[in-house]
Amino acid sequence: MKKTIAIIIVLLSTFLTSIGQLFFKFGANKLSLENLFSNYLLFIGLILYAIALVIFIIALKNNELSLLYPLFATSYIWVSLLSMFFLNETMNLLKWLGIFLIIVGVSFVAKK
Amino acid sequence: MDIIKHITMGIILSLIFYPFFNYLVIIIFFSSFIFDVDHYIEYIIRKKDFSLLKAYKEAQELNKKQKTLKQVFIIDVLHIFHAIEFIIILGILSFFSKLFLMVLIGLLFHNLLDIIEMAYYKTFKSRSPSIILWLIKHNGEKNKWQQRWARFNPL
Repeated sequence: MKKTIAIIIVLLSTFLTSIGQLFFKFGANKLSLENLFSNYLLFIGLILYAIALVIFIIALKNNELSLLYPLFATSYIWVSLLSMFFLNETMNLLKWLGIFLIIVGVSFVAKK
Repeated sequence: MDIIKHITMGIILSLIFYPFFNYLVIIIFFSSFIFDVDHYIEYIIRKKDFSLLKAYKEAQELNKKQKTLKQVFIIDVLHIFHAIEFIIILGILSFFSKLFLMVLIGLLFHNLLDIIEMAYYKTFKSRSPSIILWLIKHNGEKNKWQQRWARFNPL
């Protein structure tokens, strides 16, 4: 059960990392020298990154690094999808293929 | 968030979890969008109408308007399956059964997506985070939340 929880935690960590990226983008869109330190969107991104890192370290206690770290690749999937939903970025066939290949790759790593 | 987006994200999440949980990912998939049924329940209570299509259309219209104007039109609507109490109950049950753990994963994922959207469009006030809080707030003002809805009539 602990190993299962570790996997779930890592996937949550990847998702938080992706949301962090999304907030970096939101913040970057409004970035200027004047608001560099008052840009709360960037800070939300940083906080999410920090939380993701902490929970990843917690997950490492209960499972192998060689299994957990490749799962981090799923953050590329979340970033692509979140960008499509929130930033209206387009997804083409090649991007979908990339997502599919990441899922296949993660499956290979997960299957012992 | 639009149910189609929830379903898309649910499919991807289920595929990622598949090597770890096999057929149980079906539960993750369904729970990543099925809890939006509380929007429909709320619609039935408010309008006394069972039309799923009308409920969906109204939600779409409201979403569109709120996103375009980045403004909340309806505040403090209670969606029971999105409330913190429901999540806590599922969290407790998930200690005893893997099935509930799968449901919890799907629901948390669903809620995270909703939270990002609400943060982006600044519509946090549109939904009550807690059943208890909602009951305390609206105790004794039986139809006030319905009146608030009446002001917005997209159909």
